[in-house]
Amino acid sequence: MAQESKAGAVRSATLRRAAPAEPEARPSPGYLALTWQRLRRDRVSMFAIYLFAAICLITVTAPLVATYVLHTDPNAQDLRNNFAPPAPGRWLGTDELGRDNLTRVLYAGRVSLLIGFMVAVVSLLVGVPAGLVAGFYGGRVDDAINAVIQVLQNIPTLFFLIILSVTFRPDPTMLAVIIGVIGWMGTARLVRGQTLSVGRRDYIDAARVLGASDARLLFQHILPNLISVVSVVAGFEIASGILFESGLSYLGLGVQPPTASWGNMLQNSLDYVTRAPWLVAAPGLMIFLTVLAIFLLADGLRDAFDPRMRG
Amino acid sequence: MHLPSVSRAAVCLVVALLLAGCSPPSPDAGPSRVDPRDAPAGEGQPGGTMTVATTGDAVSFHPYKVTDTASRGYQGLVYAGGLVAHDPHNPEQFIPWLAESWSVSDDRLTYTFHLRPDLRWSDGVPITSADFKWTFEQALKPENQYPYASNFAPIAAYEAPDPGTVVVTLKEPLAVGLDNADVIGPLPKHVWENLDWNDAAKNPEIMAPTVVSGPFKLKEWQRDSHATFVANDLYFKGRPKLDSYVVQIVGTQSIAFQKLRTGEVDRADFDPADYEQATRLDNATVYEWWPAAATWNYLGFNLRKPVLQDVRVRRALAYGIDRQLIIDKIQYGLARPIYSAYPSSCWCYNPDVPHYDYDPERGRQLLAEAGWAPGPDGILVKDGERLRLRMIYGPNTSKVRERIATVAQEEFRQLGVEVDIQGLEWAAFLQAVHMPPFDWDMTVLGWTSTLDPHWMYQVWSEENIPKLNAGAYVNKRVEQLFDQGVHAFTPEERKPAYQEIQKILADDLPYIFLTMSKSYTGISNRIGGIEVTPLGIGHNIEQWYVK
Amino acid sequence: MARFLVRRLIQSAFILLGVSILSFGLMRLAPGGLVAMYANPRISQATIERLEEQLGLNDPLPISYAKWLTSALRGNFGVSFIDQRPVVDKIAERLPATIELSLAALLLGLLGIPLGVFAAMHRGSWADNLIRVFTVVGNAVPHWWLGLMILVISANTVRIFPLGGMYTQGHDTLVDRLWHLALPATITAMGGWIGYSRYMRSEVLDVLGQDFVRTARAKGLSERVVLVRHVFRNALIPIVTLMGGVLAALVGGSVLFENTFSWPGIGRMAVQAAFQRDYPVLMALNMFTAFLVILGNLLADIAYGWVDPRVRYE
Repeated sequence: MAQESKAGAVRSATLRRAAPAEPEARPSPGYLALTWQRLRRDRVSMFAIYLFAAICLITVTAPLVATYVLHTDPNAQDLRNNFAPPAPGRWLGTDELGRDNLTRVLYAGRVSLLIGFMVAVVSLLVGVPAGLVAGFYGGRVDDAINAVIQVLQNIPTLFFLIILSVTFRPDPTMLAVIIGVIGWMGTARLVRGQTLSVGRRDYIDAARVLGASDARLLFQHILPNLISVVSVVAGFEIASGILFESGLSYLGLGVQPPTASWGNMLQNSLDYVTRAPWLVAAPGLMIFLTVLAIFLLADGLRDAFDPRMRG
Repeated sequence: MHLPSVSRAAVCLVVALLLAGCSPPSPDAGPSRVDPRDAPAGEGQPGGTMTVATTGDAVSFHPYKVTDTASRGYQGLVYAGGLVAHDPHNPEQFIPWLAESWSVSDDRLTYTFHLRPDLRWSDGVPITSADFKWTFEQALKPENQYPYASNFAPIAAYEAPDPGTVVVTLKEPLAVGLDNADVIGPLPKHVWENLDWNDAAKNPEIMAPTVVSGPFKLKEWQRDSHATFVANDLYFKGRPKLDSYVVQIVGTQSIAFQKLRTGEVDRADFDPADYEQATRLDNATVYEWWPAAATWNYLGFNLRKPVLQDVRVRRALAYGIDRQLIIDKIQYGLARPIYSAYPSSCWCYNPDVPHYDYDPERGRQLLAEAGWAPGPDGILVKDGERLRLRMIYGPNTSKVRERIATVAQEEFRQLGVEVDIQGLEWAAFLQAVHMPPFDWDMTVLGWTSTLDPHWMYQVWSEENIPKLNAGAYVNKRVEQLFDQGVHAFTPEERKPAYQEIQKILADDLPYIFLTMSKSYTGISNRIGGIEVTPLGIGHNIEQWYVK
Repeated sequence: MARFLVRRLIQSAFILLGVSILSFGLMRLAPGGLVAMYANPRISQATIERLEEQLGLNDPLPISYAKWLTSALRGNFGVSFIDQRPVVDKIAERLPATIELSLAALLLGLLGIPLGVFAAMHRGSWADNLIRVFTVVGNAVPHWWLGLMILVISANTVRIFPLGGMYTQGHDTLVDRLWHLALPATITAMGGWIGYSRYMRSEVLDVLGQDFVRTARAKGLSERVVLVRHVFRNALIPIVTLMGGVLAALVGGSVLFENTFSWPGIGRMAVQAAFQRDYPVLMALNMFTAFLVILGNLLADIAYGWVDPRVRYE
């Protein structure tokens, strides 16, 4: 019974889809404007956009703010005034070495956001094509890519990180790339799974029958259907990059001192939970707000890009 | 001139691993001065349980296989120790322990120990010299791989002429002779001789000893969770007042501290950052002491590097460090400055050595004298070479070392020296420091000093490069003085040698000596009988009681 | 299908081999080694050398690997360098604690699935937004940090939660264990909530918009039928992918989390072994996890075929 109705729907879908499939899948000015309109209507997403933009703005301009507004330096120690609580002029207090907490939080934001983005970029750049190709072509290609993914998923990450940290003294960018390289496999598997499913849908077969090349199929028919999964994944990757770095700092393998990142500031402040709670609150709050904004935005984008959404 | 090798009895030279200042919650060896069965003005009833929180679980109970602090702590609870012990109130003196008396031959080569007549293993079998001799022979065998096998090198013979006597003959007369002679603690021969010494699968005593000599017996051990010990009625100093002693493993020191606060445990060591809060707790007291076996921090120089071979540069850098700031701000006041190789708790301490105290102006002057002139960006330059140093520390999770390095980096920058700091993972750090290519200029490290000053000779002798003498310091005069010191026999005779050693090292600066740490621990007010000594509080654990 | 399975099994064997070679090599490549085993450099050089010889650390890498491999194939993963106990014993000791926590977290985390479906069905409503925000909130900070904050606050104010550990000494009852399990399991489960709910929501929305659903609705089928028969199965694809990793996640621990909650699990042991270069333990753990990852992925791939009949394997 269910199969019959599906077959019927598919047949009608094939007839109806062959024509409008193309304009719907190809991004046109109308499509993007439509997306933006949909996004605008979602209040939660707009809140997230503003929040995220604000965070990006203040962290990107950190050096300017530090020099011209606050007149501080993130690494300037003032041991005699360490653990100073927040006060006018020292808006977020000082840390255990007397460094200004606000300045460090701003500078740390640059590092953490960079890591988050880079992780997502690497993960998507490598993971999406890998998953696409594996899911689309199947057979030996799928086997080969699967094998590579599974081998890489199982190398002892900690050792990898130890070796790298000793040999290369990774700066934040390099660390971000490394974290992305370690983590793209999950993205690939998710994309592969989606592709396996989408790639078998009848309108794809129909398009193929009509003579569409592999590339066209991939980019115009399959990829757009992946946007929902990919945008969720992207959100997760950025957020997990930031959070993962914090865990690495615990093991001493994250961003190296004295460079600050939200992750290592958070980690560092654990010793002072009761003594200097502002040291814990500042990076914790920033991570919270950033990750919150990213997840909400990813949701919203997913909804906005959805070509099938109706109000 | 051959120098004697190390002895286990002397608290070993351990590179202080993590946060300085804390002594592990384990009882250190130490007897009372009077008959052990006299309790000091006995208050409180016997019975009750004391719970201790610690962050590291032990590895095994085998005293001759594992050397980590947590394991030694557990071993100290169940095995009574050796023939003599250091007097907790006067650590350079020895007091009777399993031996009730001893005598030394005139040529100082033969030590004769008379065991207490009433020693018993926990199963009732008497502890005799046969146990000592058997354990000695087992530990000596190369296939048993005792990590401190070198302790046996000074011993010429180890005999048990009758069940109550142990006679140890040394190869040469030395000031540390008694330490050398009291080289092992006995294991029960009647149990162990039928078991495999090495294989824990074949020898259950290694992981769960049933026949013991110490104040407590092991009741249960759940790895990484907890270990429960119960009182041993046959302990030679009398059955402990506590019925049981539980060691609880917690994940982090801050959780341990929280547990002390809430009363869930009776004892916890905590991070110095919590010290202030700890002193204000209603339900617990912070016991603190300046330990005789002090842990001290230093910045070590790699003397293979030409730039650091100029003593003026080293002295200038020493002038750049503000010790008081480190003490106040990084160690929260729980430390004192030191200027040479021995802490103030040593009988050989020499207060009269050159002090390179904080004086950055003088430091800059010295560097100028050494030919360094400020370059365009403020960093010193000489013959086209920038004064740039690489400072490494480990483990990279050690916050104290990280902070010292960060502060030092900033202070040296004031002198015009550019310092690049890097925290390395512990294993990688050891490799970097002790193995070629010795690609570092300075390290942040620490030592725990020994009770007898002699054992530090290893750190300053040429033969120990690159292991204990990681910085490759060579000074024959210092080696000579160490040799002198160990071949004299009374503190008065030995003192001059060590005093001069301190003077030389304070001036020559193979290290910038920084601070020595205070020991402290938090104990619930529910527990009584705690007595603070330079050897810690563990010496009278059998006297602790629940109020 | 049978051909597919056979192919994958053979492939898995090769993958495991590859993983073992890479892991072995990587571990030996890391600086350190036995030098780090003794934190106390008083151990004489001769002793260390003898030990290295005995443990086979002086053999060239291929020989060392061959020895390990032949031994492992017979089920013998050697003894730990640290305490000479059989590796398998050490792992078996820690496994129950980790599995207990992971299983509880997994079961709790599955709540994310209905949450996601609900959010999708009521997209745009306040319920949807509430679920969106609520699932994110618990995951916007590191879990171990959140746990620590809650513990510290709890310890300093109202003692709702125990300060870590698996049970209270002397009172090992089911209720006590559940009480100790409550906070760590819930915090870990939050990861599941956000993950499952988001993918479910996304997929359900996708599927809801497709034509065959419109057709089914047009045919007059009730919402529930539409949901269960058509929507749900199709939306499960990403969930199945995530489930592929569940087997391995059940036995993987997080050292930070375990430290915060004093949970004697695998994560702590693994990190300690790594820092102490306890190679036998590390290799055994790694291979065990690899096996579970591969098995999990294989099961997930098979499940794709069940969930979405259009997925076929040649």
